Amino acid sequence: MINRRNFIIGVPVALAAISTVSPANATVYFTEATIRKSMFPTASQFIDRSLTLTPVQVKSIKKAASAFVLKNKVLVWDVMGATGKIGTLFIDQVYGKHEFITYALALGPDGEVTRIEVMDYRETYGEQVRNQNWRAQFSGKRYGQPIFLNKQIKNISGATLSCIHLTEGVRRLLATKALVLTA
Amino acid sequence: MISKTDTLKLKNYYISGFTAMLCLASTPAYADESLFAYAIGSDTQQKGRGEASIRLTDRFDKDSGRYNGLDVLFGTEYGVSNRLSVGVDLEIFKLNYKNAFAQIQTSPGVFQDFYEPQFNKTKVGRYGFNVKYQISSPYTSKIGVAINTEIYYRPNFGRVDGSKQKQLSFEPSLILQKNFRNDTIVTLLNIKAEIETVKNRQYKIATIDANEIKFEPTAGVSYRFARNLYIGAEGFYRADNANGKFNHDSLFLGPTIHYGGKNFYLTATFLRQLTGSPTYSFSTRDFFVGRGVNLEEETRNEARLKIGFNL
Repeated sequence: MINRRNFIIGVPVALAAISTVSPANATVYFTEATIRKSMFPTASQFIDRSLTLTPVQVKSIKKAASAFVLKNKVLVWDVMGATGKIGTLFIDQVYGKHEFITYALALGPDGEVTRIEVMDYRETYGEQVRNQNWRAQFSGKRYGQPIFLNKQIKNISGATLSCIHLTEGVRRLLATKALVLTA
Repeated sequence: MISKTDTLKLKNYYISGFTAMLCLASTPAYADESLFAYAIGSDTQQKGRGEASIRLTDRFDKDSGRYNGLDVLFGTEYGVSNRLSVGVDLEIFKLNYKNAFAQIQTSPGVFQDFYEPQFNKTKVGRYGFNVKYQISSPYTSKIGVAINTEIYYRPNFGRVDGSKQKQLSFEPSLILQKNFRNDTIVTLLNIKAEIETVKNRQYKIATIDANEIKFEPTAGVSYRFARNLYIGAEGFYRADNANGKFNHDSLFLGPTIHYGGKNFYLTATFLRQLTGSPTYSFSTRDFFVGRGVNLEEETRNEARLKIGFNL
């Protein structure tokens, strides 16, 4: 028999169960293998430079980037070509409204952004951040330059949360590259 | 106390709610989803997108007897622009009580029922219309600000005791939203006024017209503690004035939980009345109902379940 007490207790339990068993429903656009090939088609080798940030590093990145550090684990590769290092590849996540948005950031040999790609998107709204023109706004941006939504980066109305979190993510990864990887 | 019949009826409502939720699980959830069951966020619908929701509110327990008010509100909203949403709603209202109201003292030593001693009816509770406009976004501004205005008409009976009446209400709200920790902690403050005009409210021994103004600040805080899940607390303070005089007030507070997925969202809140002004009877000020709580206009407890989905 269902009574109010069962209902009051049952709803949170049911929600937890739904959350646990529900599929992520992600639309996957790139895997790690395909993003490597897409972003660096001429690469001959990807050297894994992934690391775990120390609390001091987290603090300095947070301050330098004016951005939230979601995880202290950083997935990053040096990308090697025929003539040496041709770039850096990050695979990272930022918060969507309920899920994480996984994206990749490619940097050129001088640390400038060459491309950003959304690898999977699990949210109902905000997928407009996959728009090529929106992503192209980051091209050429470097650590130390201002990269803020509604200033250097135009917002997409209706996808504000995704836009602002990806913009912060780019700032954070550029700061990580500058403060930790090249230190 | 809850009777067996009540329990079975409630069971049907709850099962209906969950069934509706599961049936709708294959449709996408909407943008302006409710992290809270009572407090409203500053987000609006996306332009050109619509939504529908079902909201069940169960109000139960008075100082004595048996009391259960169940509102089932069917709502739909549409984004006219990315900042402006409009919506309509229809409420089905079931009220069932017996000996839940104290008698009043009409003259020294004489007590009479002011409200009906028992009531059990289901009718249309209200027709409503709302407009919401976002002034600033909580994601790009220091604080999210929106204005929400609700207008509704209660054609049948009052929500408290079922007395016949016609009621027109106008409810403007100022919505303030501040997010923290990369938008994983959401805090809300709604400052709402309810301006009501009631005609021909037919109590058992009197018929009145009344103009009431209620002041109802509602606040909530919620934390995204796991994928798709928020947990927090919310509450409201409600004070009303009838025909220019302070009537009574009450403070409700309780936990809330929210699930938001790609297919649907669901929010549940349980509220307990923590404190309120003990109600004095209509004709004398020496007969109090409740002990430190307002149990004439309000109940001891409220539970609300809200389910949202796209059209």
